[in-house]
Amino acid sequence: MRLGGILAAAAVIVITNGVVLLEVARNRAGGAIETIRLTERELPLGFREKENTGVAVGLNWQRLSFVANDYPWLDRTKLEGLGFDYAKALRDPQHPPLPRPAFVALEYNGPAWEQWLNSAALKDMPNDTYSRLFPIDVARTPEPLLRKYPNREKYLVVRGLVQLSAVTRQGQLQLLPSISQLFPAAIHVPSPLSDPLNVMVGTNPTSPRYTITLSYGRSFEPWVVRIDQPGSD
Amino acid sequence: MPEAAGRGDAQQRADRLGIFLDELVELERQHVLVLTEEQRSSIESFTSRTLEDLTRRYDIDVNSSQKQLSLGMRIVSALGGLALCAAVFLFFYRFWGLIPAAGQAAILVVTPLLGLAAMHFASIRERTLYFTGLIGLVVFASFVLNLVVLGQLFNRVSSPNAFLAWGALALALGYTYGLRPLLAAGLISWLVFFSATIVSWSGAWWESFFSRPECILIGGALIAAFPAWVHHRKHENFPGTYRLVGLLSVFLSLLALWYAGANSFLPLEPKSIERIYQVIAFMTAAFTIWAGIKYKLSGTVNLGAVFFTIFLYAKFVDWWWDWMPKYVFFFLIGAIAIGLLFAFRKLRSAIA
Repeated sequence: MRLGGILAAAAVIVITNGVVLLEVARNRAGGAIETIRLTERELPLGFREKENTGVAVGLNWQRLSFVANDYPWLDRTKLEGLGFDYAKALRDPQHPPLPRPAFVALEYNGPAWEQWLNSAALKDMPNDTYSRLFPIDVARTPEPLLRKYPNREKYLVVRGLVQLSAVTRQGQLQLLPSISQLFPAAIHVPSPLSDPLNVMVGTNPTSPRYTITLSYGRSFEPWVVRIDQPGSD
Repeated sequence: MPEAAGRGDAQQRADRLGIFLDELVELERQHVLVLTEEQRSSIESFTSRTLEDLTRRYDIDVNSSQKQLSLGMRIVSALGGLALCAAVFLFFYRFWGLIPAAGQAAILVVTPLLGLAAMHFASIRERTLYFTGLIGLVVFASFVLNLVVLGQLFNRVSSPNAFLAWGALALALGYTYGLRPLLAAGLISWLVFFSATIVSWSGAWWESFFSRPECILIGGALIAAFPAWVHHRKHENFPGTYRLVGLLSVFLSLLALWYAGANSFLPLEPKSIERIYQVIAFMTAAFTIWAGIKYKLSGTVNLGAVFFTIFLYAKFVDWWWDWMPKYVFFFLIGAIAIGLLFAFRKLRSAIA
């Protein structure tokens, strides 16, 4: 009887791991859907506990913080396309809708970055550590974004979370959309690729110290393909 | 902490025999009952034989010193289990960066399986299942680590399905060995899975289930009611764990909605929602006390009474805190506490 219970528990462990590893294989089957090269500005090293030897980088994106709405392009049509009930959110601001998962198109080193650089608040400020990744579009599924932004060196489609909050400005109720999270928040760098990054953990960069080639598979889960350091080519 | 199936019954019988012998001595001392030597010897022989048999089969406690020591062993076993869980996590994180991905994945999968083997081996060697329960907690922690780190290794987007798997493992082990901590871990895992799945069906992100306490409330109510549908003849202590996990979830969800009506699914003004849930909270606490008395469940009565008191004090703070001088407020609270003591004393008599 007890042996049966132990075998059932073992089956749970084996089957669950099998499913996870199959999904990992499915993500990477048929090669990458997207591959992009990003620097330490966009993929900074994550905080690491003293007794942790793993290395991870975070996907760092930029907000247009000089305008009232960080995402002016995230309009009613796009929000309703994600499933938000815009009219209800306006009518009933005391019940803010829950964040919804979405696919987010990020632009790398493009017009949004130029616009951000030329903003009054940032003129004459050192800008060689800021991320040049800007969210520029969202959709419920990835296909329309992949079609609309075909340049894989400039655009990256990732999973994310869109939030809608109600604020009152100058006596008028407004709905303020935001992208609250991109998934995965931390990207693991496997050994031995992580070796050059290990010595950098905990130190502050004055300029980008590495470039990471990142690939995304069918499930939009990334993996690190290679890491280059300036002068290593 | 852990108890084998039937050990509870055995312990109850040993306790009854102990009380019977004590009463027999007292009755003889007061000359209410006079036994012949033959009768006394027959009773002593029977009780000693029965206690020996129960001790041999179930490793029960036959005196108060043993009982106190057993309680200490349960506490040590639970603390030891938690410490070992922390050790497993920290040990892995200390060395995982030095191991290639394939090696990491292999270690993550094999560790809980080895733990299962150790658990089975320990259960064969002992009757009280202290070590088995301790290893069981480590197996559960290893499996949590397994899925969390595997997700990190391959940069997977999190999903509530992991809680389904963790719950299945914990419940399988809990029911196999009669281990209540693992039963509780399994129920909590499935409660999270249930609540997160309902939220994700609405199109929202699953991790925001905390912002909709009604999902947890429904799940908690189902867990609390489960022992009424399914009888636990083999694991007589399990219904108590079901009720504890279920009712705690229900009461904490009600407390959350008491203050944050905006987090409800109900399409009403937040203040109205809060008032509705305040009434429901009092009714649920009162019902819990009533059901506990009716079905002779002292733990349920206590939990209901604790939350009834918390809800009452929360209401007093809402009503009086802002306008009443603080010394009057605390004086009133003290006076009401005395009133509650009288009420609970009457309840206690009713239960007796």
